[in-house]
Amino acid sequence: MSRKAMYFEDVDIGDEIAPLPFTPTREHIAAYVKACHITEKRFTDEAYARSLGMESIIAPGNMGLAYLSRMITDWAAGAVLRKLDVRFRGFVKPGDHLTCKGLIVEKHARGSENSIECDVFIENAQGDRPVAGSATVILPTRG
Amino acid sequence: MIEFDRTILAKEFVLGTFQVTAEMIQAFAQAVGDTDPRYMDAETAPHGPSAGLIAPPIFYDVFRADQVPDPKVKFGKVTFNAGQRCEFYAPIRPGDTITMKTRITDVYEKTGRTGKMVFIVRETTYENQQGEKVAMVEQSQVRRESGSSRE
Repeated sequence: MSRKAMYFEDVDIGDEIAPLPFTPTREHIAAYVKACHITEKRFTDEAYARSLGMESIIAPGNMGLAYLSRMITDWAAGAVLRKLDVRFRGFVKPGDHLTCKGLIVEKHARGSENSIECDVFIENAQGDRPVAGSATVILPTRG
Repeated sequence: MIEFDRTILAKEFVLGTFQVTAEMIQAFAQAVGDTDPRYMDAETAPHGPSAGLIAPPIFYDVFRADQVPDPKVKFGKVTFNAGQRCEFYAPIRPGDTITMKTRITDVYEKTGRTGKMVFIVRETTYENQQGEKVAMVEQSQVRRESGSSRE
């Protein structure tokens, strides 16, 4: 992956953030659950997840947020995520073909700290958005 | 009227203090395939804009309490995360000691397509050893009768 700086001056309202496709596997979910010491069984135990009325295990909600954060900093090296505000509207299951996407909707020049407001979401192959919301991102300034 | 323990509202609970290591940060970033050198590269990070290794924003998810305050809502069988608003004020770094505190700010009910739901809103803050607030997460949880869908 090419990682290059993205400056505040280089982006405009309406620009897309480079999308980040990902397909979480059971192994990816297990690695996240382990890194975060999560003990809830609905992320690891099929039988337990089904006993709750779900089709299969699901990915933790925060795992999706970590991918959204990664999308932003993969696209803009040196970007700093200041705020992330999302709704969880559906489940993410192992094997789902997902894409993190984002769109710049506002630009705010505030002297030393220049930020963009973005609509961000995770979309699945059916076009549903299990995670959707907004992000405030600080971008470096040229000069 | 929802039945729950109203005395818990707005009370602040210290959920724990946690030591941060570079290994914890790397395990977290690796789990989502994040290769940002600010998180992963101890050689270059000190010379970059982050002035040393930092943790990715969502790293707060590694801090887990053994027990969280329970409003004892007398409704629903399953709890899911409905939404989250996170604010990041300063980076978390290896060597930091993070104190996690939480408050339940609201409990309310709503009727959706699939029936009644009860929402529990928690505000959790993360503070470093200098007493600097590094992050705030407002999490909205929903209690429902069944886990078949999120809506």
